[in-house]
Amino acid sequence: MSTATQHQAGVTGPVTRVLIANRGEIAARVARACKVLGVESVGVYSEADADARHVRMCDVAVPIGPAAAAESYLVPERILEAARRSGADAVHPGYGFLSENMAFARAVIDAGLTWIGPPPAAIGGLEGKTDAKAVAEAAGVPVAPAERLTDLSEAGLLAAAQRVGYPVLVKPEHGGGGKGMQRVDAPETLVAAVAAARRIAKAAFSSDALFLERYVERARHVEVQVIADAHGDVRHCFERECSLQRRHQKVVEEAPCAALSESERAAICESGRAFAAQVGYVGAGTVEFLFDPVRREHYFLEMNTRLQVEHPVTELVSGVDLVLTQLRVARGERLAEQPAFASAGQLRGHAVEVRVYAEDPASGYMPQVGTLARVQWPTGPFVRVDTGYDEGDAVGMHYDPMLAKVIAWGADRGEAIDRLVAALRETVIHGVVTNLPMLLDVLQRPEVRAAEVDTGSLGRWYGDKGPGLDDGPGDEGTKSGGTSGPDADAWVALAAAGHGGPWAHGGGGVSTRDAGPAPSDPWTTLSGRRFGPAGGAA
Amino acid sequence: MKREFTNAAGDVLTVAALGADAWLVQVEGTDTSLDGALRRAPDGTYLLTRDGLTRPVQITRQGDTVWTTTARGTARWRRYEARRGSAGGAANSVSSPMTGKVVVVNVAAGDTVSAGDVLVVVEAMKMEQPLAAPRDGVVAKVSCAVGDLVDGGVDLVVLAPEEAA
Repeated sequence: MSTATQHQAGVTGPVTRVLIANRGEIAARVARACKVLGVESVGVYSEADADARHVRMCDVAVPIGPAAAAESYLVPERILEAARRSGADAVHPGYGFLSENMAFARAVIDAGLTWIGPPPAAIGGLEGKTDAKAVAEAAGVPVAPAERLTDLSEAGLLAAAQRVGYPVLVKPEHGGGGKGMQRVDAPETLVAAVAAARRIAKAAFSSDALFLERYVERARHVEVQVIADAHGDVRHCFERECSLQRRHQKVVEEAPCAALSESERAAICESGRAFAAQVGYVGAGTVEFLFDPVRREHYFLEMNTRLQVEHPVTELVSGVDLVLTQLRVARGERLAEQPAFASAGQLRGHAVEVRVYAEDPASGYMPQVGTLARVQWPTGPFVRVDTGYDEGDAVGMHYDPMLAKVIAWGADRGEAIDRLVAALRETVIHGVVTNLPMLLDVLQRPEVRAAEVDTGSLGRWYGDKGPGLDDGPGDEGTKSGGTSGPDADAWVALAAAGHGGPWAHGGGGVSTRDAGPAPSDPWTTLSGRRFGPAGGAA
Repeated sequence: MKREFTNAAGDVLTVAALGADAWLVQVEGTDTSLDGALRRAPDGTYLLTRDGLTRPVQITRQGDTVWTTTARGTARWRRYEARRGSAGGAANSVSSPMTGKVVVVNVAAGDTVSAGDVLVVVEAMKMEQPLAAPRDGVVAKVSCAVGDLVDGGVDLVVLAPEEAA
């Protein structure tokens, strides 16, 4: 890691016209912050995004190529050319795309522009996970007990596992994606598991080097938001919990983490802050931890050197506008001069966010494309919607299918969840299938209400499929369409409004509604059936 | 203009249009009956009033798909015959999925047809509904003519039985 003085170059400078190297809701979010600061925003767009909301929100926008991200949003030269053409003096990368690309950060700085992100060295230095663990240890931040396997004799393995503590995870040192990883609960199965893992690692990664790591049962994903100015002032903005994940994709995020005591919260937030300080960080970043709810310990996982998707929950409980602060830090301003940081940080209430995706949980979360024929986002007190889509917009196949983040704040966790449930019920999206039914189901589960969740919860509850379209909570599923059916209002209104006919329900695979209509039944429910050329999502 | 529909449960629903954005609805059900009114608010939301209670219903038509949202959540509705087409085996006849007027008859008894050929077109609620041959075969009987009002489910064209293989 480099020293703080090296970090000044390029990460502070003029910020009067900001090129936003992203799309969708995050581009719109950054454009908003630019307006608050009174500086201009420059959008970029691919051919698929020519009419997109972020283009409509930016002061000016520049086309950067074809729909495929690899030919537009991911091409540094095109972004830099757009900056030149628009006269931008600063670049905000958003999240994803080029946000954690060290070469791009360097290229932005070399072009004489202000990089609204961490020093490139911090991006590069934190990519290698073992390096990051060494930094954590140097900062006094706990890491999960782990050990490289050098003595492969039975006695050597058993001793190593004993030091790490069961259950252990046998992991290939090279490679990733969980391949070759094995959980071992007791000494009896250790030797065989190590032998198997070596074979798999050798075949997949041409190296049979392994290490053992403490396996954390019912682990909770807790991450600390940090922000630092270019003058060495590093602060934390409390923590978020993102344990409700599906295949490492976060679905529900909240702040703070309900599982932590006050002293545990103070300890984990200080760990995050200390790690960022150790690497001379500048800007907004997130330090991720696993929290072991049995041992009541936290272990460093990694640092994300960018703004995160779930930053709004932190903004709502900390009162810090993270994106605005990023822009101010890039102008060289001190955190201490900003109102939100003038006094010691106060945690206020609770915030919960869900990600609304154009995907069909009932068909194994297949991404959906289509035109948003009708969109009604929720409004009301303490509800926030960050979206890249309005009514009439097309949802294409080229990018992440996230339509919006819906966030609610409450004086406590229960109130925040109540508000979020109400907001999701108010949400109308016609034109593409969404995961709204699943989100509503998740939020109303007793385990979620009780905050008894972990990173494996969603998988255990739903497996590979989730509640889909037309399986709303409280649906008794009595009989097919009609006046005594579960959705009589829809049936009657649909018929009366004269939208042709006959129509049949083509909902998701887990609807409880009764199928089996008579052949002449014009309006009926057809749960769990996919049919015909018009069937299936586009 | 009055329209009438029946569903599997035997409910009969009668709709009378009151101008462009309002309708009267009457249901004679097997276990329910109702008198209601539907109107469309300027923002496109439908308001259904029955038993003195008004509830919002969101309806969006998108080609052959209709989306509805009520307090129950969002549902997607598809054209009914799309399901019949794929779910059915090699049927021996075609029938209108709804009550309507026959506007086209393309075949006569004795004609050889291929699966997918449009045999009859029925119109209802200003929507034309092509009825296609479910399989290859020979037309045995045509029991409708242009201009006929036909009920849903009644055979309009019958194909000769398939020869034993």
